Amino acid sequence: MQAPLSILAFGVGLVAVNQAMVTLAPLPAAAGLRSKVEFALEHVGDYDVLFIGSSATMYGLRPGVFSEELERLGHPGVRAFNLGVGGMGSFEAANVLRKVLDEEPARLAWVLYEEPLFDPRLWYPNAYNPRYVHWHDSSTTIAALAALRFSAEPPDYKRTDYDAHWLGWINWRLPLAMEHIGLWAWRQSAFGRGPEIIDELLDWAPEPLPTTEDLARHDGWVDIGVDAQPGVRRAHEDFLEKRGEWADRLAGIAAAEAEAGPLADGYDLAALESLLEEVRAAGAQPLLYVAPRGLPSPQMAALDAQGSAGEVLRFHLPGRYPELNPIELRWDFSHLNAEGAEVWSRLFAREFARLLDAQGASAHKR
Amino acid sequence: MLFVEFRFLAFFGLVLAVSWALRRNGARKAFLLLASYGFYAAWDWRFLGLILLSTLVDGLAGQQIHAAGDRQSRRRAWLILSLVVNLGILVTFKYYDFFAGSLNDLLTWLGVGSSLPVLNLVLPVGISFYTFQTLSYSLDIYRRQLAPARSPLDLALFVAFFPQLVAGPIVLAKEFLPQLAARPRWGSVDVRAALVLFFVGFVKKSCLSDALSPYVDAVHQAPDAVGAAGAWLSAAAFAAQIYCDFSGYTDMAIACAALLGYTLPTNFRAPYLTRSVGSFWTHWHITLGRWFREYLYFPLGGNRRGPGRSAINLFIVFLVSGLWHGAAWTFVLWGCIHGAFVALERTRLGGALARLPMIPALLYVNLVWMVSMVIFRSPSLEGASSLLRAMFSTALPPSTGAVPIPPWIAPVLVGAFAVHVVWQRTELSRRWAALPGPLFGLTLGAAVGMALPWITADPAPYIYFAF
Repeated sequence: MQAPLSILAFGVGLVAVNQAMVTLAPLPAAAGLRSKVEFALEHVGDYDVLFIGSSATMYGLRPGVFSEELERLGHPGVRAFNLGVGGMGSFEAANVLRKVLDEEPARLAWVLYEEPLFDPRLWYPNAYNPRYVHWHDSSTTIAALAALRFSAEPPDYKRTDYDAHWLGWINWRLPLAMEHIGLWAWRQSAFGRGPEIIDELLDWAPEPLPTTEDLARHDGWVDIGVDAQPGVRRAHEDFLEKRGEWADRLAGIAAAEAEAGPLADGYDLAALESLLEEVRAAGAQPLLYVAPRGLPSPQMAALDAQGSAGEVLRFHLPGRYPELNPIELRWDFSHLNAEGAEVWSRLFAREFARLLDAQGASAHKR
Repeated sequence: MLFVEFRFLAFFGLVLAVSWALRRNGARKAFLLLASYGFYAAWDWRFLGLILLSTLVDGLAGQQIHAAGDRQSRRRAWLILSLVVNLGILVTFKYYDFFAGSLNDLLTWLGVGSSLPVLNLVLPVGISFYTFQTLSYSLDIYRRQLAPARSPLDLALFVAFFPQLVAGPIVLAKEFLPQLAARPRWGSVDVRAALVLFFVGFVKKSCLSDALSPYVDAVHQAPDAVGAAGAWLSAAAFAAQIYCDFSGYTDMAIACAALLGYTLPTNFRAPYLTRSVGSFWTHWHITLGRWFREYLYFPLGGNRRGPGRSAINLFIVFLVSGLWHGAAWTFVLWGCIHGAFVALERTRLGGALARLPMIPALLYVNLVWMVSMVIFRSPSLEGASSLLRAMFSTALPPSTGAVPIPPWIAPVLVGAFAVHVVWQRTELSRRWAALPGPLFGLTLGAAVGMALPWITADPAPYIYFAF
């Protein structure tokens, strides 16, 4: 009887301490994730509107300008927060949003969500990186596994790895599923996260960027031109060299979207509906949009046409929003500069006001 | 396959289960031998041939030495064969390039053109360890202290037993072969003590040594990019790293062997708390010191021919010990320094040192160790010289490109110190293992939970694997 009891006690001790450690482990600091999410969790109750999406949102939408324009259009007193984070895809964004909604934000009336593609592919060369680990809680992992069936192709540079995997000969999605399950397992333990925990507890690491002060001053918007990181600077230099290609990219969008098949062929509508339902359950309204990144978005085109998620604001369409296309408004192919961000924020406010007026809705919680 | 990798834990779990399930001692030993060969093949299967050759030659030599009875010339001939084959393999793979390169340099310096070929052979992991083990077998039979192994299987398992195959402790045939005579009993295994020892070894290697290694590596890659403080910190960090790395490995090796029912000798006893360099070497890598004492120092005459000859013998032992660690002038110099200090301690100076109060004595030993280990760790004498200059100057680190001192290095050093002093001095492992079963399980589980965040996903190879 001693041995089974001892083994049980071992398990209890291990799980209890591990869980305590997991709760102490901070979010990854990279790309603004930690500071923006921590700020949002603390202050989300002060905001009416939340933008959530990738770096296109982080650099491209200025909440102050957005509110100012809304006020001019007859919707005063709206406070918005930009929760855009560099490299944040749909599953990570959904996970972050769930954390924010768990705070039961009293004032939050609208969640403006960038291009929810629900792509479960893991694009980083090293799948086991902190950025992927943090969002692999049980429910988000299950959602990602369920979305696998909608992925037609593996990322090109991972094809060989997946083919060589012991399960790869059956289907390339199986090694990918194993990666998701591995990330889930990793997420359950504080394995290898001691230095971060100590840095966080003892406040040793420098304050992650953007700083709390900057976040409060700009309501989450980050000026891409200020203290640009090396990768961001390289993208800018690359854009300056190849700026002639911008017009070609814009020209290709309509054709690429026209060729796309119906939504059901390659899109996890159930994941989207679940997300929208969670937003509504928290007392807010969802609104989807596509950022002006010069890339086609056939799924969002099909979703917009189907209408099951309401109107999708597709700012990437050059014909519909020509004011976003001038090359001098861009930092690189994917991001607007500060001036471009001002133009997009005003335009977004105008479209948002149009929707509010058409629906007889308010930007505030009723 | 490192002991701190999950695949080793899976491998060991399987070996443990199957080995205890096997009822017959022969089948059990055969299985453990296969598992040991599999373990070694996971590094590089090609070098299994060297282990097999070593085993074969020593098996044959041992039988023939024993069978020769009083025919001394025949006994000596078979011993020489064993020495030539084993040391020949070691010299070829480990030292040939060093000696050829050094000779080329010397002849070039003398103006005589020379181009001895350099072989660029890969060093088979653990070769210095298992070569010394097999040599102990034939040497002990020659000295009539051991009878030949009762079966080739026993000898093969003694040479290749996986817990100690690649980095010791260096087990003597006369202490391991008798353990193979009968199947061990599970009831006689102190499971709790073994689990605690394995856990402590794991923490030393994975949580402490691997945490210190990046800073030490960075300093030794750019020795000109540190000031005095950085150089001293790096020396302290390396002293802690190599202790945690090597003693951590041997803790796990001893624990694995214990769980399989076998006893391996102790290899470390709080060496940094000793009060003389001579005493240090009876507490650090104890089994290597024992091997050199039995098979080199005593045959050279030991201390039987007076203090002068004894000092020379000690110096020779430490010179060879330096070379055993690696084929480079840094190791030769390191061995000479330790030989010189140990020899000096045999003079009147030693008497004066023995009268030192505890703290100055500890400072003396640790200073000698830390400074000499800068040479040991450096990839070249030039690198060592740069770091030693930095240590003994008042220079500040360069204004740009200096190796940054990580903030967590202080707690890791404190952790290493705590493991070294508190653990070894207070017999915590014995007290821990003596707790009632469920309380032991709960505390071990909690301790593993505390250690998990400090385990690196990409462990560095053991430092002593390079030897």
